[in-house]
Amino acid sequence: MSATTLSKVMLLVAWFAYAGAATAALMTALTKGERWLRATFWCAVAGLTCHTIGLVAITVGHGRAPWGTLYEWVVSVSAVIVLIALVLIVRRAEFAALTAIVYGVVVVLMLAGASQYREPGALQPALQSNWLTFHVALALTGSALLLFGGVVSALYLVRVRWENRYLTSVLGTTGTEPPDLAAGDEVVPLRETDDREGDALAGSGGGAVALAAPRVEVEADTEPVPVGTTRRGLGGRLPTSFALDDLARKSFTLAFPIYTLAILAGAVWGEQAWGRYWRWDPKETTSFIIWGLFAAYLHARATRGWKGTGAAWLGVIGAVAVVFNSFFVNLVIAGLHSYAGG
Amino acid sequence: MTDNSGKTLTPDKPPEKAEARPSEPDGFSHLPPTPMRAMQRLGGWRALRSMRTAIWLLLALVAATLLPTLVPQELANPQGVRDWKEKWPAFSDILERLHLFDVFSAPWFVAIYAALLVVLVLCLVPRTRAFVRQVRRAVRRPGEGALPDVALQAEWVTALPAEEAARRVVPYLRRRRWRVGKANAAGQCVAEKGAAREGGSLLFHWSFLVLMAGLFVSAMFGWSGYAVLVEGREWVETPMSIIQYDPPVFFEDSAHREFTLTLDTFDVRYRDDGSAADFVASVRVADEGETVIAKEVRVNDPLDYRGVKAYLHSFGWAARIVVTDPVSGDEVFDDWVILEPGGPRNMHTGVVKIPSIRPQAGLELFFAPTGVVLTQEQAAAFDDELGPNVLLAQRPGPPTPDAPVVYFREYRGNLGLDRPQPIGVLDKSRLGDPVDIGAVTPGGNAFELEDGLEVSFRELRQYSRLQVKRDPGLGLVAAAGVLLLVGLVPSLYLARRRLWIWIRPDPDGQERTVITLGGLAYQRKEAFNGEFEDLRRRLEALAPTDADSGATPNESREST
Repeated sequence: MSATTLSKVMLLVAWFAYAGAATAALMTALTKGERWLRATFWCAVAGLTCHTIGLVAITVGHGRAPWGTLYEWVVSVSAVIVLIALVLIVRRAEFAALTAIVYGVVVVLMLAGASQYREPGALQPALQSNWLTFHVALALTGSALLLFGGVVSALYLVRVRWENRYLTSVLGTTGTEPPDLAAGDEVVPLRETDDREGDALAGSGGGAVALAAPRVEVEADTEPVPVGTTRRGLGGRLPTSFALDDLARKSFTLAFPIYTLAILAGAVWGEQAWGRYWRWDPKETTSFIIWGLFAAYLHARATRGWKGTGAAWLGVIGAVAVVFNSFFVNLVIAGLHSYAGG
Repeated sequence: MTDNSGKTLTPDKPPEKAEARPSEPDGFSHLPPTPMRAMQRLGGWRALRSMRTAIWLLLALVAATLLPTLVPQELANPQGVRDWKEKWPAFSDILERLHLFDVFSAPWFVAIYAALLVVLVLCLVPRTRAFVRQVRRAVRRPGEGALPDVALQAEWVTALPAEEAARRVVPYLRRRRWRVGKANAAGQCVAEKGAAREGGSLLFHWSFLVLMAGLFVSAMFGWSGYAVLVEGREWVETPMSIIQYDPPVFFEDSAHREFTLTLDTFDVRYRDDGSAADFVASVRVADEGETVIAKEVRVNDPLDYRGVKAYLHSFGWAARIVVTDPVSGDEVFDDWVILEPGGPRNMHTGVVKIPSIRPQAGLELFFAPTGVVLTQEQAAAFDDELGPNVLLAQRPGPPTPDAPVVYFREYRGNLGLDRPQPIGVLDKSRLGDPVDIGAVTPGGNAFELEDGLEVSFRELRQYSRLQVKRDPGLGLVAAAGVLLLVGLVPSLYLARRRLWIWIRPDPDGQERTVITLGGLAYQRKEAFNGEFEDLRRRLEALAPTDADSGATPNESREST
């Protein structure tokens, strides 16, 4: 069996495993079953194993890193996203419902990548550079983290909507604690207390202190909400908006320096290969847009009137720009990066 | 901030209030403002220097940058611009007026980023001043008061006297790089750590001004263009010999050393599909008659001589074409003609312009390194400008010169040289239709045209096109990139933290000391929980709990 065939078979198996993981994660969210959680984990592990074998097969088979074509690029980005989701679920089991959507996105992404399949070829001389390998590896990791964060931000928006509607109706206040309230529980409206201007690039919002939060005593006669009732919907099954916001922040703050370094490494390579570190070719332009959006996100997090939903929207738009950069720019717009699209 | 009213702690005091009593020492529970607050405290220009303005400007810049991904740009895709102008002339006219074909030098684009830079500087100057003040000045001795209601607190009692406990606790904190301030009469002091966060943030933002400075220097004093080198031939670095020369704004006269480049050999290794697997140009640099550099220039490995860099851009074949006018016996043309790949039927094309005879003559060359003879059907199948009667094509695969042949068309008339035109293009508007055709091979016989001109193909060599440029701002741009990263990482991952330390003799008397710690992280609160707990444990080991006293609780509480 040739390396190409092996990689195709392995990636197909991985795809099915991810579809299984997405389903199992969904079941985890619906039933809160420990068994489904385990199934999600092992499906994803099996998928990532096959995925890795597939990528290694491409690497060995062609003697180069597995991102010579758009298809390979998308497959590599997917692997990094799955790895992020796996790390997350090992550390924080309550994010199971969220990973259902992450695996779903990976399944769609891989399908979209496969639709652009090209027989892999050798690289042009200009592409044979260590700086370039470094550049693409970083861009890949950064893109995966940004996409992941974008999904989390989207879910944050869903959750905030739900919290505003549901908790307002139940508690008569805007709170963000998990909905499984028992009489006498404290509800701390964290978004309110966090509403302070912090310093620039202050990831956590830079709010001076969250210690003076007014504590809302839940009335003893408030009905605790039974698990699994229709009133909960998707929003009710998600982690709290605070947890989602924090997770999105973590992925974006991790991604931002990586993406910045990717752009800089690309500029170094461009300087060596083309004699220009920056020439506003479509890929560079879109990268700049993505970078600008996430720079705005990081500042927005620390700015009153922007933090919370405003920042989350920027994260979502940024993630859409990442997808746009991977597909549209490669396929539709010509430029010096067009060979990346194969 | 109404939520906080009525609490003992007011972390964000109104600026006016804070400024009203600058000399008065702050209470022990005082929380210094965040750097952004410090910035706003300086008053005036508030709306302009606010983060919100900066975010909107940044988003405007992003939106403006989106346009070039949708509209072709003169710089990156001139052919696309021409196509648009042909397809939609009226619409393109509007786009042209809005500078949408050249967004990055459009006045409105420059206005956006200039405004962003102004806001940036307006924010950075007060922030930097505040930062420098904060770093240079020792941490203030606090006024006496109660410990602020911070989430992280610890208290224990030690048998050591208060002075001894302080002698152990404070140096330890200093070793852990906490900046510990002086204690007040009550034994209260504060310690700070993590100023590098703000420092990094400032460095990150300032680096954009360094970047702009680099771009400015490049534009003012740098130049760029292309050099075409034929094997074995010399090329002198002068503005005249640089193709598509983009001159510096200042000091053009002294910008060129006029050194000599010689392309000794050019080697290409082809793949079976005809694409190049690897290519190397062996280049020599001579300055004032002496060879100073001999280097193999590769794609990712440019030549660098005294700030002038030469990058391998493209390569191909060059033919030495000689045209003789038998009437006068003069050689009216004798030069190396660059044959660009990408012509019809995989052939390479070049142009000969002879302005010295009347009427002027122009030759359009089609070069096949390995020519193959076609049948008329095959030629017709190409359906290109050469037509079914030209039975020549380049063999598919690597363009090695196995059977080199030049097919050419002759034009007579006006070359139109009164208008500027690219070297490799024939302006046919005043030349009319070709008057004759012919074919020559290297070293072969001269081809006699009907009007008497004799064309011969003396020699075939390879040429290499190098992009040459001097970019004096590059160092600044590179420095900006490094500063940007060096600043970015601490600004995202470090947290500003503050400790309150209160070491006092036990009010219940006896020879005991009560130590109280309070801790607060402005960012990354979760990570600080662990750090605070570790700190408490270590300090407790240095100033051990009095085992005999069960009276005072040994408390360490955490809450959010």
